[in-house]
Amino acid sequence: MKTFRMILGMGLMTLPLLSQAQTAAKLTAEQILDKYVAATGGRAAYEKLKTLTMNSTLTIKSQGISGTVEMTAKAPNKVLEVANLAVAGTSKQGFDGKTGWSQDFNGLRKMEGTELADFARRAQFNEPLNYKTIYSKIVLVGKQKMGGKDVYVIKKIPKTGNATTEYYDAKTFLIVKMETVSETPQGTFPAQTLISEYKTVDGLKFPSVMQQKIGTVVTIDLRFTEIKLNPPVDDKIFAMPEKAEGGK
Amino acid sequence: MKFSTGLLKSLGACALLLCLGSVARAESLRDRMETFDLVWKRVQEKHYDPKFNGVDWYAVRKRYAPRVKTVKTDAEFYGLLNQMLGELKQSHFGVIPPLAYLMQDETAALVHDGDVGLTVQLVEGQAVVTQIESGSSAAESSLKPGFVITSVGGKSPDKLIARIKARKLKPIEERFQFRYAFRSQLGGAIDSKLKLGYLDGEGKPQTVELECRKPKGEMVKFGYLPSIPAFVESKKLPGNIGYVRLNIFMLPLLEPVKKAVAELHDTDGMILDIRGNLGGVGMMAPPIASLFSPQRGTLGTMKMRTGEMRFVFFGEDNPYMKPLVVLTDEGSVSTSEILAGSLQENKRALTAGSATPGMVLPSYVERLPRGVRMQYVIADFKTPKGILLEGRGVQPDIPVTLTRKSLLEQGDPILNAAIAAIQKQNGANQPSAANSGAK
Repeated sequence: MKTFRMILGMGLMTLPLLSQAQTAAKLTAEQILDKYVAATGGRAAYEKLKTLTMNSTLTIKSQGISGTVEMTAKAPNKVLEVANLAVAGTSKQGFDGKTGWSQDFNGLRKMEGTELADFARRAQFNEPLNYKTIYSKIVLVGKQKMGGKDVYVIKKIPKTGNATTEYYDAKTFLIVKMETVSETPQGTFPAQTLISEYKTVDGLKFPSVMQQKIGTVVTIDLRFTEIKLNPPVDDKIFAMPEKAEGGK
Repeated sequence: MKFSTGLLKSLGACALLLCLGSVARAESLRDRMETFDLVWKRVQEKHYDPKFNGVDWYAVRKRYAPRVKTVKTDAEFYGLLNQMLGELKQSHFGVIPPLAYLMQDETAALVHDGDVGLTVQLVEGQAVVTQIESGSSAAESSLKPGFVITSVGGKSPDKLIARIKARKLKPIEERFQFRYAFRSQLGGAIDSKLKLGYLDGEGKPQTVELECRKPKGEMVKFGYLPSIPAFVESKKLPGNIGYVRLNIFMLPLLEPVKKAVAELHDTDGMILDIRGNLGGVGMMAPPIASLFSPQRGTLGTMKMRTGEMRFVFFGEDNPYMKPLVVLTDEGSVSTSEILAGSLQENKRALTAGSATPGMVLPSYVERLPRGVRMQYVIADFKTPKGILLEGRGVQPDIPVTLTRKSLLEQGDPILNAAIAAIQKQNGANQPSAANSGAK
């Protein structure tokens, strides 16, 4: 699910450190990304992190729908996302390093093509450190105003799959907005994620309040309720189930 | 998010459903203008067609905004809002007020706590019993399909029929409006009694007192839609034909539908009854279609203002592949039409009954201030062959026009026609004596 991918992307990328004031010098894309790593935890902190769980609440206020999202990730590239919505039951998506899969009321299926490439890329645990191997091109689009603040806009173009555009606060170097495109068998869905708050957990900073807009139709509010660093995680949870829960 | 786009974007909600609530205070002009603005803006921002189906939506605002000051009651105000939305000439637009003002609006279908278990449709210009719910108070009475209802609680349906006729609608729209307006009178508080007058099979006037009971099914809720009783019914009919009926497309019914189809897997044909099914969650249609297909396919595409979404079904390893007939009528709306129309177009099923009304626009129901609900369209929907079902509906392969005579004689002529169609298909699939070499 795209929301989970957003959460995953944000969780993996926003390992914190206290932000540092920056000069207004002209920066390259790589320098901005390095400053992001510094602002969110630093290379050493990233490298200590091997597993991560992030739980959040999900609300679609306009439709009166709410639920929870649980994300579990493990280095180098495993992830499981579980959504529980009262109106629709439980949906899961996982990647075990090789196979991406999805399970919902449509049943259990393997991901393929661009959907798989996008999901596999978002499962990269230390993406901010390894972006040079994940993306074929990183482009500094420029500097813009967003809500009265300066932001750097960076486009990350992968070898396969859809590009991601990220907006970095020019002072804090924290990500404040992301634009992504998700491919699914049902179609291609552009999404915009706004991060309004960060939370400190064991000295590390994570996005804690996000709003995701999908097209012009759906706005999802996410609020992280629990973040755990380096919990024990069994690899089995990432594997594609043998059959769908409830049958098939 | 795949989940939200898959599920929520495709919410083809029930048309014209209300929520019952306590009496709200009368609204001030300021409140009304705020609600007016929100309603107008929702369409302006969310309608899948930036040209609003050819309607100058800005001009509509200019015409209607000044009228907000002139309405005298809240009922008039909500009527005005719905009139404005009616300028779009599309289904699935509506404002649901916080109160049963719509007791005055006979097109409202109120969800009572209890009902008597009757389906009454407009047949040959009269209010005729067409189905009786098993286990209901009506099922225990002398009422039968084909009987004409002449009064409910002392009130004749003739006024309602005349009012609907005066609108000069298409026949299917007349039948739809009557069915759901009259349904609001066929229920009441649980354990309350309802007196009905009727003409029996010989045309003799009779009366019966029925008890309003808890409706069949479990109450389910989706977002800001009112709670609705939801059920799946299944059985084996004579001739080894499976029968599955679901009254609404709500996700808690998906597993029961799958279970029902699995349990009837050894039958020689199956009937999927979605008559009177007002639709619901659009994304329930693909997993149901999967039950009847070994491979992936599409039921169609919904196109939003930005982007589109395909109703993809993935097929099953062991699908049900015997003849399938889907029963429809003027009460089969929205998601019902998506499923029936697409199975028909994919040549996986025949449809039997009457045409559907063509109210097939995916929509949301949103809560506005002061308990107001607004339903608005977010996408169109076209079948795999690109046919827009909105306004067109699904035309049955096996049309069956209900008459009093056929109802009195057969009970359920549409079901019988479906059974006959399955038997005919199976007969055609049997090797002939000549081909088999039999002598």
